[in-house]
Amino acid sequence: MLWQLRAGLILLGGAFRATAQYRANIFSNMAAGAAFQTVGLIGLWVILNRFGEVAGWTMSDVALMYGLRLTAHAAWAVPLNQLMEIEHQVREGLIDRYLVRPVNPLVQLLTGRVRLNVFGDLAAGLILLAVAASRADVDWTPARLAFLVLAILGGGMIEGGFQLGLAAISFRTLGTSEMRFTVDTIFNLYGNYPAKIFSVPGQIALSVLPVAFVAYLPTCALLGRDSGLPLPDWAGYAAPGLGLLIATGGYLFWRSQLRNYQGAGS
Amino acid sequence: MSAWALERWSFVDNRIRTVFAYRVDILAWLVGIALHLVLMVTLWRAVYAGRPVVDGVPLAVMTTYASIAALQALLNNDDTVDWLTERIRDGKVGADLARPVGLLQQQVCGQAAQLVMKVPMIVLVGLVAMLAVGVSAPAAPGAFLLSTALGWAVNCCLGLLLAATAFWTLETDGTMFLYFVLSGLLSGALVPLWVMPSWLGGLLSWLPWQAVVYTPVSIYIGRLSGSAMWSAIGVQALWAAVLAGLVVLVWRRAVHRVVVQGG
Amino acid sequence: MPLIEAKDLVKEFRRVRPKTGAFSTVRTLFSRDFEVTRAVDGVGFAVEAGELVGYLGPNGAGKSTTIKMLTGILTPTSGTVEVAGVVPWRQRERNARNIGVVFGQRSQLWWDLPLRDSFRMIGRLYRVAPARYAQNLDRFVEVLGLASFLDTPVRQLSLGQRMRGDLAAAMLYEPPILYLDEPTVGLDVIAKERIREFVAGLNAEQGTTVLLTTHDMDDVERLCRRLVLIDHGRVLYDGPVAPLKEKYAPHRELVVQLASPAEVVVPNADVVRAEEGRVWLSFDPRTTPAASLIAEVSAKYEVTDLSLVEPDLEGVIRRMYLEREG
Repeated sequence: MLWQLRAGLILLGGAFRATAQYRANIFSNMAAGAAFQTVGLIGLWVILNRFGEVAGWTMSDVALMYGLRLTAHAAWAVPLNQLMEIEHQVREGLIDRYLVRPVNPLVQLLTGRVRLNVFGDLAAGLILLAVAASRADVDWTPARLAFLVLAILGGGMIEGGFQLGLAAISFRTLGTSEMRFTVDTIFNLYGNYPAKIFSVPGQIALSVLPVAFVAYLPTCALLGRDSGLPLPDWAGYAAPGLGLLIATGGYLFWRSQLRNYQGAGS
Repeated sequence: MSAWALERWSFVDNRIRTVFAYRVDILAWLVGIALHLVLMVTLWRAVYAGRPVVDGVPLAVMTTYASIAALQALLNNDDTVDWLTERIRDGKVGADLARPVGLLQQQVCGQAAQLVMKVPMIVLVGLVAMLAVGVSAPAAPGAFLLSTALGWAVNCCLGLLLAATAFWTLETDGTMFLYFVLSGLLSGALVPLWVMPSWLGGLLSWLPWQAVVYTPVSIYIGRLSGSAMWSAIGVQALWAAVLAGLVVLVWRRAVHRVVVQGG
Repeated sequence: MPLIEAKDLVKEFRRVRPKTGAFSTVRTLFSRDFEVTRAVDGVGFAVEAGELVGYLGPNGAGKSTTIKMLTGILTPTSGTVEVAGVVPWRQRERNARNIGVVFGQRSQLWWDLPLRDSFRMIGRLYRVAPARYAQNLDRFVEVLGLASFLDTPVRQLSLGQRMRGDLAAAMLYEPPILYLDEPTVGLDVIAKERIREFVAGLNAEQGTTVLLTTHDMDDVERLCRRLVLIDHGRVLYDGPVAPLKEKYAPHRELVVQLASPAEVVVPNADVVRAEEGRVWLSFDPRTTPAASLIAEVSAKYEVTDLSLVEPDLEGVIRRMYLEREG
C-alpha cells in the first residue's frame, strides 16, 4: 500500500513534467473545470431568479446542496479523472505496459497524466461550499462540520465507485465512455436538484441508484428538513458508509474485469 | 454515385462503423436523452408549482420547449473535436493529411456521419416523448426543419473553429469542455432566453449560439412566427455564412502549421 | 527446475461477430453472437536459465499472445505458466521485477519525457540502488550508443533510437529474463546488428535468459540455438536449429547462368525457377554430388556463371509450413 503510494508519486512526477510541455493549457484547463460547474449553477440561478423557489427550496438552500455535490464530485474526479482515458488505452493496447511494471495497474492509469481542470472543479466546489455554508440556515457545530467532510468523502466514493466499476467494463473492449458519461450526467443533473420534485417512482430510483445520498439527503440532514423521500431519517447520514461500500465493490469488480483484458489486436 | 461522392461517403461510413463498433454506447446514449428529457420536464413542472402560465408561456409549451431543446442539443453535440485532438496527439493527422480528401472535408464528413446516425434515433425518441410527456406537434414544421438545419450548420462551424485550436495547442480538453458546457447555456438549451434576466437574454441574442437551439425550438413552439420567424431564420443563415467563411480561413492556416508528433 | 515453464496453454478471444447485409450496423448493435478464436491452443515448453530461444511462427500463429501470457499481460483461458516460480498474471508486480519486456511495435517509455527521465523513473520504480543505476546506465549508454539522444523526448526519436532506449530501459534493473517481441522490425541493417550484438552480449556475459519472437530469420540465425515453432496456436517443432535444417532442407540449389535461354533438363535435379537465362536447380546432395551435377549441366549447355546456394532458415520454415498445409 505504501509502495503503491510512493510509486504513484514517482509516476505523477513524470506525468507532471510531461504536462508541463503543454503549458499553455494548464490555466485554461483549470478555468474550464471551474466554469463547467459554475454554468450549471448559473442555469439554476436564472430559473430561481425568475421563479423564487423550487419545491420550497430557496437559492441559498440549493446553493448549499450544489456546493456539497460539487465538492463530492471533485473528491472523486481529482484522483480518478484518468479513468476517462481507459477506453482509448484498452483499444490501443496501452494497458500492456502497466501490466509488466511492478506497480498496481490502476495506480499507473490514474497517474498517467495530470489533468489540472479537475482542480478547477475542486476550487469551484470549495468556494461555493464555503459561501453557501456561511449563508445557509445551519448552526455549524464541530459535529456538523465533521459530518459535512464525511458526507463529501462518502459522496465522492459513491460516484467514484460507480465510475471505477463502469470503467472496468472497458477491459472487455466494449465502449463505456457514453455509459460513464451518462452516469456522470445523472449524478450531475439529478444530484443538483431537490429529489422531492420527482414523482414517487423517480424518488425511488434516485434512492436506489443512489443519487440522492450524495448531496440531497446530507443537505436535508444539515438543514433539518424532511427529505420527502420514502426513506428512514437516518438515510441522511448514510453517505459515508454507503460510499465505502460502493468504492470497495467498484475496486473488486475492476480487479475481476482486468482478467478480460485482451491487449490490442490479436 | 459519383466517384467524388463515393470517396467522401467512405469517410462517413467509416466513422459510423467506428461508432457502432462500441454498441453499449448507443444504448447508453438513448437512455441519456430520455433521462435528460424527464429531468427538464419535471423541473419545469416543479418551478411552475401549479401556476398555469408564467411570462405568457403555459406549462405545456414550456415542457415542449425543454424537450425539443434537449433533443436539439444532442443533435448538435458530436465528437469531432475529440477525434481531431486524438489524431493530432498521436501523430496520425499526418496520414490524414496525405489522403486524397482534404482534412476539413474529412471533418465535415465526420460530422455528417454523426448526423446520419443520430437523426433516426432522435426522431424516434422525439416521437416517444411526444406521447409520453405530451409534447405538442411543431407549429410550423417546414420552417422548423429549415431552422434546425441552419442551426446544425452554425454549430458545425463553431465546432470546426474550436477543433482548429488543436493545431496550435495540441490539446483541447479545456476548451472543448468549456465549450460543451457553455454552449448549453448560450444556446438556450438549458433555459430559454425569455426566462433569463433581460440583460443576459439581450446579450445572448447577439451571439451565434442562440441560432443553434433557441431559434429552431422557438419556431417549434410557435413563439417565433410570421415575419419575426423569417428574420430569425435570416439571422441563422447569416451566421452560417459568416462562420463557414471563417472556418475555411482558419483551417487553411491551421493545416499549414501542422506539427506532426512522431508517427 | 526450468526458469520459464508453460503447460497446455490455451487462450481464446471472444469478439462480437459483425453482421452484413441490410441494417447490418443495427443488428450488430444488438448481437449476442460471439466469435471465439483460439489464438493459442495447447502450447507447452520449458526454458532453462541462460537459454536464448527463438519463438517463431507465421502471422497470427499465436506468438504475441503467448508472450503476453508469459509476461502476465493476458490471463490464459486454461493451462499454467510459471516464470521464476511466479504465476505471472496472478502476481504481476512480483513477476514484473523478474522480467524485461521489449515490444517492437510499442514503446514502454514515456512518450513526452526525455529518454533520461524515462530511465530515471524506471530506476525508481524498480528500486535500483543509485550506485548500481549509475553504473548500468553508463554501460548501456556506451554499448547502445545512447549519448546523443539521451535528452530528447521519446516521441522525437527515430525507431532505431527508440528501440535501443527500450532495450536499455528493460535491462536497467537487471532482470534475469528478457522477452523480445519483434525487436528488429522496421530497423535498418546497422541498427538491427547493433541490437543483436547487445542481446547476444547480455545472454553470454550476464546469463540473461532471452525469449525472442521475430520475423527476421537473420535474428534467429545470429542469436538462437534453440527454436520453438508454432502454427495455428500449436507447437510444431521444439529443438536446436541444425537438425531442423537437415530434415526440412536436404536440398541444395545450383544457380546457372546460360549463354542463351534454353529449356534445361538434367536427371536428378528439378528446375525450381527460370528467368532470363538464369536457372535454379534443386538437388539432393546425398544422392547427387554437386560436382557431378555441375559437370552434367556444363556438358549439355553453355554456362557462363554458376553458384551453389546453402539453405537458409527462412526457406526451411517456409517449406515446413507448406508441407504441413499440403
